[in-house]
Amino acid sequence: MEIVCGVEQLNRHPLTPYSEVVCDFLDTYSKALRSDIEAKTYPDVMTFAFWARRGNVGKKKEEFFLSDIGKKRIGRGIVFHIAPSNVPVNCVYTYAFGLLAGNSNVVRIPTKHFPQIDCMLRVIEEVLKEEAFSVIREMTSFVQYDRKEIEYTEKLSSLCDVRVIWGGDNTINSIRRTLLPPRSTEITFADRYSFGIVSVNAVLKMSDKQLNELAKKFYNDTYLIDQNACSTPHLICFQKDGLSAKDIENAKIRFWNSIYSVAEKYQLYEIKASDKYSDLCDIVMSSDDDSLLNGNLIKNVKGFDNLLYVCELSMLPDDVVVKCRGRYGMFFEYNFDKYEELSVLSDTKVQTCAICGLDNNALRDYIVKQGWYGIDRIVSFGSTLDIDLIWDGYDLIGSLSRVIC
Amino acid sequence: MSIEEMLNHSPYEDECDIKQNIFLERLNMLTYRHYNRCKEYHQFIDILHGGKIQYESIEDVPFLPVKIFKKRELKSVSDEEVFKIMTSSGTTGQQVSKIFLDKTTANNQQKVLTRIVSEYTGRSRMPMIILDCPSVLKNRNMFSARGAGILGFSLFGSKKIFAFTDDMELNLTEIKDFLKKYEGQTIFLFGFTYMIWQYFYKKLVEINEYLPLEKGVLIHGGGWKKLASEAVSKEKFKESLNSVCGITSVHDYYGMVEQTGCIYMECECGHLHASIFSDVLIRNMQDFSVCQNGEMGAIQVLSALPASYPGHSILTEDIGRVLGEDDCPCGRKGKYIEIIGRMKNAEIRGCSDTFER
Repeated sequence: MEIVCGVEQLNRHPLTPYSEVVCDFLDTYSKALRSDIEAKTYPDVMTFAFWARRGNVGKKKEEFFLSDIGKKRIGRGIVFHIAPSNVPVNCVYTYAFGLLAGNSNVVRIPTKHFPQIDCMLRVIEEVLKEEAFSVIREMTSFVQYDRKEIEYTEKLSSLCDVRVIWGGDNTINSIRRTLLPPRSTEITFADRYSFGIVSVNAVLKMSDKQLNELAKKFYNDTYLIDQNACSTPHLICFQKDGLSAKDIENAKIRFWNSIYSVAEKYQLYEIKASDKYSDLCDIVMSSDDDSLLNGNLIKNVKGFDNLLYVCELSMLPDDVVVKCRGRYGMFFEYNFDKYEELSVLSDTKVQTCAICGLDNNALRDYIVKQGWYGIDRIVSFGSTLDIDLIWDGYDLIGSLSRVIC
Repeated sequence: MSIEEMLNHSPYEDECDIKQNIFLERLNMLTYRHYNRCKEYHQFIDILHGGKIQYESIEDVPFLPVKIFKKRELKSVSDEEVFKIMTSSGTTGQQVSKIFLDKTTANNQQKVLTRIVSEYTGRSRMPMIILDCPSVLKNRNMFSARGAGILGFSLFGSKKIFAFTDDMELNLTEIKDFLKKYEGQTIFLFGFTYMIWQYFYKKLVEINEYLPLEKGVLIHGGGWKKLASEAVSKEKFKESLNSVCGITSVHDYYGMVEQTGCIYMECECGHLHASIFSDVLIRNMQDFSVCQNGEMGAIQVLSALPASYPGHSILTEDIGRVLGEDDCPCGRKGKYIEIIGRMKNAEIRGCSDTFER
């Protein structure tokens, strides 16, 4: 096991959430990243730097201390983070979450090499040299070892108060074979499914310019990351708003046309086009065996050359989270009147619901009232990928701290 | 036109206009057949092609992606009629294509293969060296692409030996005895490109041995992916083999388990030829438009043979181009093509932990 950054022996001395030294450190780190020539070349690193600045963290801090219980919290001790193997910046986000909650952190970084990680850790190391942050230094340990070397997972698990596993499911299952001390807790970020709801009425009312703005946001939620993230939408449910079939069709054509025109900048590599066409052919060959319709699962397909495929579902199948997934610009669509028609999305796998033209609170109230066990986030299009302190249904500061009542 | 009637034509005699008519009629017949017998294909045509099954031009005939044969078991015959199942040779853990053959389709594949290959080797059988090991033919129920290739080409052999032991060691003494016994005769050799390079050529160089195969005819296939990574070009392959055994007649072929029989043989000019039993279109992957001759794109292969599974029109993951049609200096009619290689792997963005297909 290699200590890549920070110390080998962590000081297990919890702080209160949002302690001054942590906020100072994150702000200094943010500045250092934003003035680092290499760091500036990575947009994902810059997004983190922007997130970590005092202006952003300070607002969260204020909000946090509005509640009485916030004032009674303290970190749990040591958090052992298993960072995801393919989203480089998440290892630093999870570290920052741990610090903000008041904990010392040992972060296992992926063995696969990422220049972003090298860069971010290099800058952390520089900032930690400052006298003012010696306390943070003692709370910081980034390590690297092969996932097969379970003796290290065992050792670190036995020492931690909270274990945080960034999935997917296979990683979680394999790490969970290693026991935690009885008092320790665990947070797991498993494989998830996400979708969107668009109001037909809202689309019809939008100006071309507004629609284009929406399409750009949609692009960033989907094409930008090859539709390959837990929170990227695969299915768009169009709320009919009592409009005529013709209006609905017009709205949908308008919507998809605007997506198509923005998606022109997407680089569709040959192999991705091929995989996408295979997915399309595979899904049109599916039947909805369970339904009374006893027909095809896919009613029709709108094709916008190979950049955008839109498959209209004749029903939402029970296994929608498995079956209705697209890659590289393939989406499913479904028309509905009332939320109850979407009940198959009450599935613990469902994470983010991106909305357009809907009342966020009304949808949340519905989910709560019906006791759904899916949907952890309701956000506008364009924000599906914004990771933050409330994620996957967890309030991370709460989960990484304890309350002295 | 039935395959029997098509077999009365020489595989490279028909010029474009004659071939197109015969071929299109056959493709329409196959589309109709699969539409009515294969439920999945029926849905594919209904949903993506509005139920249309008769087409005016070969370019309009719908194509399935080659990966679909890895995802689904597609067949247009009843389970009882399945005579054998061919699989692509994937490494362990990889998904393999499963191709269902009835007796008729299997027979037609063999007949067409024979017709095509005899244009290069002559009709009589020859002593044959199989550049592979005997174990590849075990387990006859599940034919791998490698085993199927060997069995298919074995029909050209009178006496046959395997060049390698099951440990892929060269049977040098046996080969030498064999060559002595059939001295002066044309020797037919068949194997897979990479294995010939790795276990035949390299071994002969290593032990500094020359085999007298000046009168040999070598047919090899399976692709250049591994050799390209060792920077071995077609030319280098031929020259190198010539240096260790004097062979001059070396023919590559392009083919796949999804369309067995309809192989594209390399002529004396180094071009891969479509026969009257198959055709090739090159498509631009941005919008599936058909590329001009000379332009590179994804290779779509069309075959007159697949009657037991809907594989008469397939979009491959290979990149290539059509070099010309009916005008190859070797005199063979039909399209002749060049294979550039597989589609390049692209880095996938996002967090791929979300879902593994």
